[in-house]
Amino acid sequence: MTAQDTTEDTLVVTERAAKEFKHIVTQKGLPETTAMRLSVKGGGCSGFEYQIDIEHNEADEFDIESLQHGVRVVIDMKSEFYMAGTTIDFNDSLMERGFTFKNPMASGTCGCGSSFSV
Amino acid sequence: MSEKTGDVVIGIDLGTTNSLAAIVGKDGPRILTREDGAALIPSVVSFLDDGGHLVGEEARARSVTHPRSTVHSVKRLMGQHLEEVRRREGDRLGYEVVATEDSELARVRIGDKLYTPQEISALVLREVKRVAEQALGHEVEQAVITVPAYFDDSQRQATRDAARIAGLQALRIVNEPTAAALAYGLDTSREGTVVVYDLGGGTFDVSVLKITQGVYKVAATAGDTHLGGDDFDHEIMDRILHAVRDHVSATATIPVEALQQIRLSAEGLKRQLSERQDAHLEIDLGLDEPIAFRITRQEFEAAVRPRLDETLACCRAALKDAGVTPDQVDEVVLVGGSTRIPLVRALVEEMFGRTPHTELDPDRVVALGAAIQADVLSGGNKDLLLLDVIPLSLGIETVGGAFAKLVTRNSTVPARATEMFSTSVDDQTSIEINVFQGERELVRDCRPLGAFKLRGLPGMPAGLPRVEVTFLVDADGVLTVKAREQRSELEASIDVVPSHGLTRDEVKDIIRDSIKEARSDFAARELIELRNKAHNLATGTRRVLAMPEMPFTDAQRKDIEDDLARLDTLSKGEDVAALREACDAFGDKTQALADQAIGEAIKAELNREQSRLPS
Repeated sequence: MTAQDTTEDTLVVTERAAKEFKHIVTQKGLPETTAMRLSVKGGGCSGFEYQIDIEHNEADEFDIESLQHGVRVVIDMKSEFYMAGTTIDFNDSLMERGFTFKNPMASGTCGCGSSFSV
Repeated sequence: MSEKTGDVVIGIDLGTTNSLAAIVGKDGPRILTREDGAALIPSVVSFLDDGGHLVGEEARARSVTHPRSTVHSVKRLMGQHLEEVRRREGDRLGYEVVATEDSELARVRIGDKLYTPQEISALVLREVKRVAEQALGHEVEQAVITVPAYFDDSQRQATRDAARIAGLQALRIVNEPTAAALAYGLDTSREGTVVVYDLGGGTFDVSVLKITQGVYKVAATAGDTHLGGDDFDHEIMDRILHAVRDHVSATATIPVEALQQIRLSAEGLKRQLSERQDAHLEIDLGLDEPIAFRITRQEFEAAVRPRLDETLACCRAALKDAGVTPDQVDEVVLVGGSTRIPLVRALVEEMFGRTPHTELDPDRVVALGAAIQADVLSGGNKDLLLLDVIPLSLGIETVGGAFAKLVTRNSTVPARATEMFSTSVDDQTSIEINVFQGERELVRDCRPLGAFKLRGLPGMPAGLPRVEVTFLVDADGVLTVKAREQRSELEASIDVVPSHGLTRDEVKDIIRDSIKEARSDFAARELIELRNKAHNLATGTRRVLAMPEMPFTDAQRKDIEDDLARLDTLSKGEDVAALREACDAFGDKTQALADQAIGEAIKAELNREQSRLPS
C-alpha cells in the first residue's frame, strides 16, 4: 500500500528535474504513471550515493510517495531518513549534464552521487 | 498474437490429479484438447512389462489392475525426502517409494528400475506437450508452468527439471492462485482486493491479491500443500474399508487391486455427493455377495468439515497478513475441482459475505491463466504485467563487513545489475564473494545466500584489479552471481535461489528493522567507509614515502608518520566525526605534499638528464 502524502517539505524535485524525468519516460515508451524512485546507497566516494531509478512497480507500505510537477516520486522510508531536505535538480549546461542532489544537511556532497540506472 | 510456430509459449497446469494445457489464440485463451475432445490429462503414468509406459486416462484405467506399476499424485513427491513422503502418505500411494544410498530424496521403484519424481512428472508433461502439439499442428518448446504457492525452492526446481526432461523450457514458474486471478482478470481491469480460494486435488492455497490499474500484486498467501480432494477421497475410502472389514476376517489382507478400486470408487461417490443427497456402492471382493456401502451428503460433510475449517483458518490468517477484513474483499474466486463441493461454496460465501466467482471451470482456470502469462512472455500481450518482485535487496559483502546492494528490493524479475569492485590489500590472489540478502547496511544483519571464490589472480597492488560483479535474477527467480577480473579475464560464478523459506511477515519485519535501525546503520556504514578511506590514504602515502627519490625532510616524514598514527588510532575508535575530519585534513595535507613531491621528482629527473648531456 502507499502513501503518506506529506513529503512537500522533505524532498524537492525541481520542475527541470521532473521535466527531464518525464522526457526519459516518454523516450522509453513507458506509461505516464511511471514513478521516479529515489534512494540512498552505501558506497561511493563519500560513503553514500544518491540514486534515481525508474520505478515500474507500485509503492508499498514502506515507501513515501509524493506528486511533484506531475511526476510520482517514491522513496523508501530508510532512504528518506537520510535524504530528507534534499533538492533534486537537473543540470543541462555545456560543462555538466545530469541530475544533481543538494542536501543542506549533508556533510559533503559528491559529484559522482548521481547515478541513473534503469 | 502468438499463435504461430517457433516462439509459441503454452500455459500448463501441472496438477496433482490432472494436468492440462492452454494457449491464447485470436479469440482469447482456450484449452488445448486431445483428439477425443478431453481436456484433463490425468497426472498418472503406468509402466508396462515390456518397458513401455502409458500416460493419462489409459494409465489411470490400469491403476486398478496394476497398482504397483502405476504412479499417481507424483506431485506430492516432487523435491521431497522419503521420510516426509512416508509420514504424509502412509501406504496410500499403492506404488513403492524408496530412497537411495546417496540421496534421501524420494524415488519411485517399478520392478528393478528407479525413477525420480521429475522423470515421472516429465512423462506427464511430455503427454501434455504431445496433446498441445497435436491440437496446434506444430511443435511446442516453451511453457509457463504453475505450482502451488507453497512450493519451496527444491520443489520449484524439480518442476523445472521435469520440464527440461520433457523437452520443454519452463520460461516461468507461476503460482497457481496468481494464474487463476489472471484468468478472471481478463475481461475488465478490476481495481480492488481479490481472494483466490484454490482447493484442488492435493493442495490448498488462499491468496489475497491487490489489483491496481490492471497490475496484480500478491499481498498475502496461506495454505497447506497437503490438503485437497485426495483427502476427501480418503475420508470416504476409510469408511468403505471400515465397511469391508465388517465382512471379512480381521486378519485378511485386502488385495492392492481392491484398494485401488476402492480409491476410484470413493472419488466417484464424492462427485455424486456434489449433485445428490446420498450415494451408494457395491463392492465385489469375490465373496458370496457384494458388500453394500451407502453415504449421505450430510455424513460426507461432517467428515470433511474439520479440513474445510482448516482452509477457513488459512483464509483468516491470509487476510490478517494482508491487513484486510473480509468485508474489504471485492471479489472471491474459486479454483480447483474440490470447490464444486456445495459445502465449500457455502462456507466461503458465508465467510466473505459474497457469492464467489465460479463462471470459469474451476479445473481449467489455472491453465487459462498460465496461458495468459505465457502470452505476455511471448510478447502477445504487453498491457498486462505480472509482478514477480524481489522481496529483499541482493548484494555482496565489501571490506569491513559492509553490504553492497546490487539488486534492490521491489525490482521485477528478470533483473540485472553490474558493479565494479577491487581489492584492498596488495598481492591478493583470490577474492571471496559473499552473497547476502537484506535491507541493513552491515552483512552481519543480512541473510547469507552463498559464497564463492575467484582464485588464481596475478598479484597486483591493492585497488588495481577490476572485478566486475554481475547479479542476474532470471524469470524463474534464480540468482546467478558472476565475478570477472577484467585484466586476467578470470571468472567464477554461483547459482542460488534467494530462499523462499522466508514468510511475508519475516520480510516485513526485516524491512521494518532497517527503518528502525536506519540512524545507527548509516553511522556504522559511514564509519566503515571512513576506515577504508583512512586505510587507503595510509597505504598510498606509505608507498610514496618508501620511494627513495622522494625529497621529504625528516621533519616532514615525522609529521606524516604522526598523522598516520593518529588516523590509525581514530580508525580503531568509533568517533565518526573526528575520523571524517582527520581524513579530510590528512587528504588536503598529503595532496600538497604529493604535489611538492612530484615537483621535486620532476626537477631531480631533469637535473639527471642535464648531467647526462654531453659537455
